[in-house]
Amino acid sequence: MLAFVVRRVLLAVPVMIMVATFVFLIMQLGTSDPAAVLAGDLATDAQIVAIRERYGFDQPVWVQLFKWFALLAQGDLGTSIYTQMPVTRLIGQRLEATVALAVYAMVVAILLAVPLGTIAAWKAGSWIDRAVMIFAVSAFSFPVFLISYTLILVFALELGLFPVQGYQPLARGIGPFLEYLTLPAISLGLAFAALLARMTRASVLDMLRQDFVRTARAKGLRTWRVLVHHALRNAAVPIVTVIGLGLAALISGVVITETVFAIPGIGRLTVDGILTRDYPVVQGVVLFFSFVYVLLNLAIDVIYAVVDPRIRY
Amino acid sequence: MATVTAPDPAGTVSRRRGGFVRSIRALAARPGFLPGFVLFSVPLLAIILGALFLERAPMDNAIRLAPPSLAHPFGADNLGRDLFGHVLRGGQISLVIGICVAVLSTSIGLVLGLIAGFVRVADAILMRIMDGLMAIPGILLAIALMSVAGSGLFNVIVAITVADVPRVVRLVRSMVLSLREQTFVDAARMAGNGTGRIVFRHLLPATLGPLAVQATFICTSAIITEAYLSFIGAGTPPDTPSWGNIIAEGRIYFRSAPWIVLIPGFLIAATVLGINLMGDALRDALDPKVAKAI
Repeated sequence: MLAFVVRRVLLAVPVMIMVATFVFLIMQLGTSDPAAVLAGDLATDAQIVAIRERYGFDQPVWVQLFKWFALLAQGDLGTSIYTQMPVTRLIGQRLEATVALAVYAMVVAILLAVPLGTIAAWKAGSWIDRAVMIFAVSAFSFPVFLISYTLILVFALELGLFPVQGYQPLARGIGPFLEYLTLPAISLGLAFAALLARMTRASVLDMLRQDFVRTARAKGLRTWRVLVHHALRNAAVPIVTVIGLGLAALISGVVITETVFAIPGIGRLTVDGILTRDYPVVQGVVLFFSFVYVLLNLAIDVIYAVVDPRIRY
Repeated sequence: MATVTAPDPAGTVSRRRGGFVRSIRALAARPGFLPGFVLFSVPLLAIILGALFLERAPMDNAIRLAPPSLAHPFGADNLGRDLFGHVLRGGQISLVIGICVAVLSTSIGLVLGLIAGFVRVADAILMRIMDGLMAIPGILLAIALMSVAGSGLFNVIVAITVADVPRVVRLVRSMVLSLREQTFVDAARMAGNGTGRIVFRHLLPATLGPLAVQATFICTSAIITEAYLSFIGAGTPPDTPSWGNIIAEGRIYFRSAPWIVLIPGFLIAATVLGINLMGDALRDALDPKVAKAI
């Protein structure tokens, strides 16, 4: 087990190096003068020269790449042009809101999708099954902002049940925290729930055809017990992998949801970076999200091996 | 009464036509295809008719933020533009982006995938590059490219294509790797065919079905990604209206004029849902085994 984890971690390193190289190359190939891009529109010539020296843009490309890796290894993602603060500190300040939103959305998705998918598999072919599948296909096709604005219109503007926009940190109490975060979490969680419901249905349906489920039924166990303890439990492994597949959708959803609901998270930081042409911020956030994406997929692979004892690499 | 049809000794023409009609029938018989076709056709028809017959309406201060009515079925925006024409023009751009990205990324992905599947040396290098590209979530890769390249229709198409190509390469490569071990490839080789002929005559046609399915999903994800990029200010420039752009502009008027955001939003949803349903039907029609499993 330990050997597998170590090997899997070592495999993630070259991928991360590749990601960093791509982000570096985008900046190199996309512009004639990367130092000018990193310095921003209002920079003086002296500032551009300083940045050129810091990153070694006047030296051969391989020296530049080496310097870039050296800075990254020290946890230096550059300095924001607009706020003059290190990008890592900006990300740190906004981490809570984004993590809270993503985790809450994930919880909403699981609470919604796993029961729906299981019921759909149990009643395969019935109207319930068809309704769940229509939900799954639709929710996956709807852009996140459409779901967000529809929820705002109905639950915030018409019914007044939730605030329209904003964020309250957890430190100010769980009540306001949940009040502000519920609509964004539902908006973000629905697309994820669609993917998860589909996979849960397919996976449980597969299990219901197995001999051990027939045996459990023949023993006279109640339906829910067969479903939960026998079918769903064994169907869990493929469901865990879908969580990994949906992470990319979750990250792009975070950027949009935070913009619609004015949540001061990392997604909103990305958008502010684009609007103020603050390239180091955009670059830093892209790298940060990509590293998190690689690490979460790594974690899921490890969980996969723990959940299913048959998997030994 | 027995009739003799036109001479066609091998029966190829009628067999081919019969096969095509049968395939279309099989596709149309899948549940989901018809609703998908309708959902996609309605916006598509409106966009085509709009492109042919609608004149660009002048800005009219009197109808600023006017709600939908008979004279202006989609209402008007903050500049007093009739949204009906504006949204249909935006649809042209969104669909063009979806189709261009689908065609470009499947073509590039097909070529790279065939190379990776057949040339061992290229495989190792290509797939490491693809792994690295796939480790960056698609929209972030597009954001990084757009923030360097600047907004523009062409740049949006390139940025989304770059993010989508690795998935196609992986799909084609995995198909080639399993197909090249099949007996019909051995038979073709024994019959004296060279690698080029085997790839183009035997492997390529076998990959086209799944690739067409993949193309429908790429098209819908490109339409949504463009909308997201424009929504956050990294997409098409404001003078090129796309659905995402119109939504981004209407965002600040959401409380007083929610239709500016909701109408293009629902059009994106209908188009994407329609294409996805047709893509699902196509996948099921091509591979009945998958249809049963899912």
